[in-house]
Amino acid sequence: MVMLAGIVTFSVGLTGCGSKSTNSATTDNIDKDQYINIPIDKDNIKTLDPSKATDVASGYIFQESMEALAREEVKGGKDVFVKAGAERWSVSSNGKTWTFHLRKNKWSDGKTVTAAQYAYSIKRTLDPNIASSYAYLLVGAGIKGASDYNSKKGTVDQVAVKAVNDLTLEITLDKPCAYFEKLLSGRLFLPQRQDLVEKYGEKYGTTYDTLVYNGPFKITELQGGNKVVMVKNESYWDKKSVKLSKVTMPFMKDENSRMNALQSGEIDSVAVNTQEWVDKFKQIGKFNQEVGDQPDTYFDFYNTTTKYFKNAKIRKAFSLALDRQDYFKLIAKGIGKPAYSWVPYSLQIGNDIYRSKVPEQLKGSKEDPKQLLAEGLKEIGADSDPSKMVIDYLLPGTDVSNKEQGDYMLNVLKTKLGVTVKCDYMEWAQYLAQIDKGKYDMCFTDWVGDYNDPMTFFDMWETGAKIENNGWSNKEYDALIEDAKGTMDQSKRLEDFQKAEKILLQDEAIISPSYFKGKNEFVAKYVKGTESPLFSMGKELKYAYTSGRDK
Amino acid sequence: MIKYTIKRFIYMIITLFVIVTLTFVIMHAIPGDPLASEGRNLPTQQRENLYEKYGLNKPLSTQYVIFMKNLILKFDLGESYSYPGVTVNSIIKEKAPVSGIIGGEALLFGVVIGIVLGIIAAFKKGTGIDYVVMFIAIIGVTLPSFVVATLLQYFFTVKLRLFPTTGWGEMKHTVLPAIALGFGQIAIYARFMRNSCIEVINQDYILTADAKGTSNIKLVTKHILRNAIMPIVTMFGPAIASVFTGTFIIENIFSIPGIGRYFVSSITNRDYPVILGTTVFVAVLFIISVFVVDILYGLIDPRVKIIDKM
Amino acid sequence: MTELSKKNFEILGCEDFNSDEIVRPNITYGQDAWRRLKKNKIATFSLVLLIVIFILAIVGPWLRPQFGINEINQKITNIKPNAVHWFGTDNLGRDLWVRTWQGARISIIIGLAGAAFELIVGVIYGGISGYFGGMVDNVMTRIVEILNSIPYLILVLLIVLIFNNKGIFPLILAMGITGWVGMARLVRGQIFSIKEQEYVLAAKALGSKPLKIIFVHLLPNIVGVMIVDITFAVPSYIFSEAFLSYIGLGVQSPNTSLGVLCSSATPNLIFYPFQLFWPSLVICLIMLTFNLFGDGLSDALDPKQRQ
Repeated sequence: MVMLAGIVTFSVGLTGCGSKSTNSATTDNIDKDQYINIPIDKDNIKTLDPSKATDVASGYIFQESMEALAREEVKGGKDVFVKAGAERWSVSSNGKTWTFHLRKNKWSDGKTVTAAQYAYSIKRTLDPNIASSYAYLLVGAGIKGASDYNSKKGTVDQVAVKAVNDLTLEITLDKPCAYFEKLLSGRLFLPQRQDLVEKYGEKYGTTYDTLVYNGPFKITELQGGNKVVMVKNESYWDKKSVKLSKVTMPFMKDENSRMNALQSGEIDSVAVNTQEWVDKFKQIGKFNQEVGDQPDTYFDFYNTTTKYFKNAKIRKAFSLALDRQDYFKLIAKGIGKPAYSWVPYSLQIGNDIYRSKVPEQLKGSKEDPKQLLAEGLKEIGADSDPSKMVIDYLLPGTDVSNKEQGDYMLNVLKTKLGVTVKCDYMEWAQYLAQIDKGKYDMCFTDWVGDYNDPMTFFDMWETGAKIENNGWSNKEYDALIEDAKGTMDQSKRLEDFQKAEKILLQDEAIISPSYFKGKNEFVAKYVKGTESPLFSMGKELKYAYTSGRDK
Repeated sequence: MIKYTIKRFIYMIITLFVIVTLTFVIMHAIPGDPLASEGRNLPTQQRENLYEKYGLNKPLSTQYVIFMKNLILKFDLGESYSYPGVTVNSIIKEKAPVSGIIGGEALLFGVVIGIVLGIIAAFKKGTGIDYVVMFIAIIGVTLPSFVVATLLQYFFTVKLRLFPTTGWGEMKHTVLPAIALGFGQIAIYARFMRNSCIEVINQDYILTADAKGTSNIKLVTKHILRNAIMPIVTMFGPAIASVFTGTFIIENIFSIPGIGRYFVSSITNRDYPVILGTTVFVAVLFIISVFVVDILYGLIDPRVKIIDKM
Repeated sequence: MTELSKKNFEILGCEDFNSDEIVRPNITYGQDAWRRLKKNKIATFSLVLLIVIFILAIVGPWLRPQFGINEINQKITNIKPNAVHWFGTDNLGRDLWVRTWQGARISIIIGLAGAAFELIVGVIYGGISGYFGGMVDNVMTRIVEILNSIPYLILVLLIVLIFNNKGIFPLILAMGITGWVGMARLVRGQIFSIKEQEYVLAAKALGSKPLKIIFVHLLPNIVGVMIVDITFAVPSYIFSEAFLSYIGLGVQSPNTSLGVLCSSATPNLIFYPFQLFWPSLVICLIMLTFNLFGDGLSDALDPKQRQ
């Protein structure tokens, strides 16, 4: 998933629902009034239509108000993939057919949640008339008939997603997919109600009352630019675990406002982006600090069709010119980790953390960027004087953080390599259009993983993938990725990914990673029971509660 | 009088027409594609589907005709690109009143305080009080509104816990934003009031009233106010319309679901229908309020003869 | 009755018949205005302060030549003002004295250029419209009304975006396009009120061409109003630029303006207030001095207050 560079981690506040007596595992008194306030760092969400909503904020709202086949939780300090909408599932011996046995659950309007609704949802996302930006994930996973249907070459009936009966869902793939299971907690596998879609037509998803909810909470108010309000969903199958009676998510785009709101007690948790605020909140002493990784890499990439960046040595020179430690302290403000490789720390391959198995490629590189540049310039027969090089650097926004990024790179590339950089700040829509047209030399952006498998960071660079148009095509790379897609053998896949990462960063140097985004949240001490799984869209509130709020 | 009204009305329609056309043309001249982020990961066929759905693949002139037809016949301003399924009309209906409330409060704040300061300064013209008062008024104009808003928010929500930092729904949510917005307007009204009061004060009839022993307060309310307030009334026209688009920064900081913010983000997202729709809305407001003010002006001030104005 | 003889009378000459003349020395409008202005202490002080700021804007960065505008240095970020960095440093370790005065330069240039644009276009347009009156005036006024009705922000944003944010010129163009309307209207109004004066009639009778009449006879008499409008226009352009910078559409990096400095310092207000303080102070002073000077100037140039 592409995010606007500089977007703050979507931080969720937890409001605890108080449930009476039985469930508290602690001896503290649970507050009588169980509610929580967590800010959304955006203006608004685009839509509540699960097939069309692509942003993190709506993903978070879905996480709390709906239930997919699985749910990300944290048990015993470890991230677990909990069976949620489905009680259990199994895959056939040839790895191609997945069968899901659903749990008994009801929608907030009392109707039963059925397998047909999950099937309908998947097919709807693939519907070419809906033109969902996420259809590619379903197609990439290899669901039979998905690709044809989505590109109008086939019919919806040919999509191999079937409700065998009310509580059994069957999905057939073209070939085994090693990461298919990892997709199950995402919005692609939320059920949708066909009757409501047909009833509201175009208006479906534009207001909260055009949907019903099957998750821990249901939405009772949504005012764009103001706030989202949810209450405990009494129809939810696991409602006895839910202690909060009310969750409020105010939209707070301005960073200062969020910081002020935490101090004044209006919100219960916030994600922090600078060291100064970290120190300040620590000093106030009323909050717990939560630090962690995020599956989000910030990086520069090069347009390999332009004069200078055709050459791999020149690209590498630019990549190595960056002093990642210095950059990390200054631009990333010390939150997260400097990135000497592409795949972030949080991603797992199988049960292992990818990064623990694959050392960071660019660390300890001994090559001299200036020399590389000189060699590269010679290879393309250009003037050996670097000051004659003028590079267009495209940035995805006009706000302060993008300006800092631009100023910094301008400075670095001038002092380390002697090249002149012109920064082009653009609004998001325009920025995307420029990239698609290939009108840039170098570009800054970030990439957020869609699911917990390294593949989400690799399939975007395949030939023909239209995620970032950089004119790069490499047969060896493609072969490695196809291999990793087709096998279930995790150690083989690890090897493939490792080789692929080397190609991306060292041999071809088509990208220059800058830093891995981190999470640094401050949560009021009276908030308990929240969970922050890595691939969740925000704090999991299902088990949360408050204790000691008004002390 | 009727003739004048009709004439003005016709001019209003023509003006509106030109504004809308101009905005349409300028809007489409901006590079950038509203569906860029939607259409990215889609195979070509689907991308075309999307464009077709929004009518973006038709030539500009056809799009223009469609838009104007919808506007004139059905008052339908179309559907937003950024928010699928949401009509521009509903956006304006929901958000405009919010900005209107804040802007209105800010206007009131600025005008009332401005008038009071202006009168005081006029009476004490040339003395220290005159300078102090004008100085206070001018401070408001010299600080950018985002600075004022940030300061206000910090002091009154964190240090003093008097008001909520953000949000909308109750009276208390409107106070800080209105003050932040109105602060910068005090000086404008104060200066105009001061100047026009000075002129009026120098008139003979004021001297007469003063000589007759009329108290200052009565002087002000009975004689000076009505005559001196003319320039301020003329400013009301444009001020009312600008209320709707000038609130952007404040709405951002205080998380107010108003139209200023929506409008600016629609420009950056190239959400053409919202841009056009909001422009039409604000332009209509502006033109109508100028028109009303002109009529009022003619009614209040006997020296101005409407017939001769044209 | 005593006899009156020639001896008792002395011929004084004809000079006494000058008693109808104006008693005070004959000074021109300009001289009188200047005299009144000088007497206005606040206005004079403002003028002096303004000149000081102008000089600092030009000279400021040269006083600390060792620091560039975009010299990023991770080791000296966010330092409070001290002997080495007179205004302190910013988020990226850049010296704020240099950046503030560089920003002031750009802001002032924008202000002056915008005002100049407004002056030229507004005066010509308003002059023609006011002088010719009738149909010409009607059409031209309608056009002005139309332009005025497009919300300022829309026009500015659209123009800046069309030119893709490149450089200061589109910025000035965008702001100027919406600004000249006020000047044109002012000029037109003034011309209406003086064009029926007798000296204009005389000039017409003598056969002067319209353009000559406008520029030689009418304009000098409304110079007062024009000047006053300019002194308020300059700061308003500077302010508008600050607003645009806040949205991200003002001056682009690595160039900076006072508006950019203010908006990038705002997030740090709680921790490093000095970063916001300096550029705000400079904007504040520029606005203040222009306004106070403008006030004084308008009082001085007001013929009704002639002493």
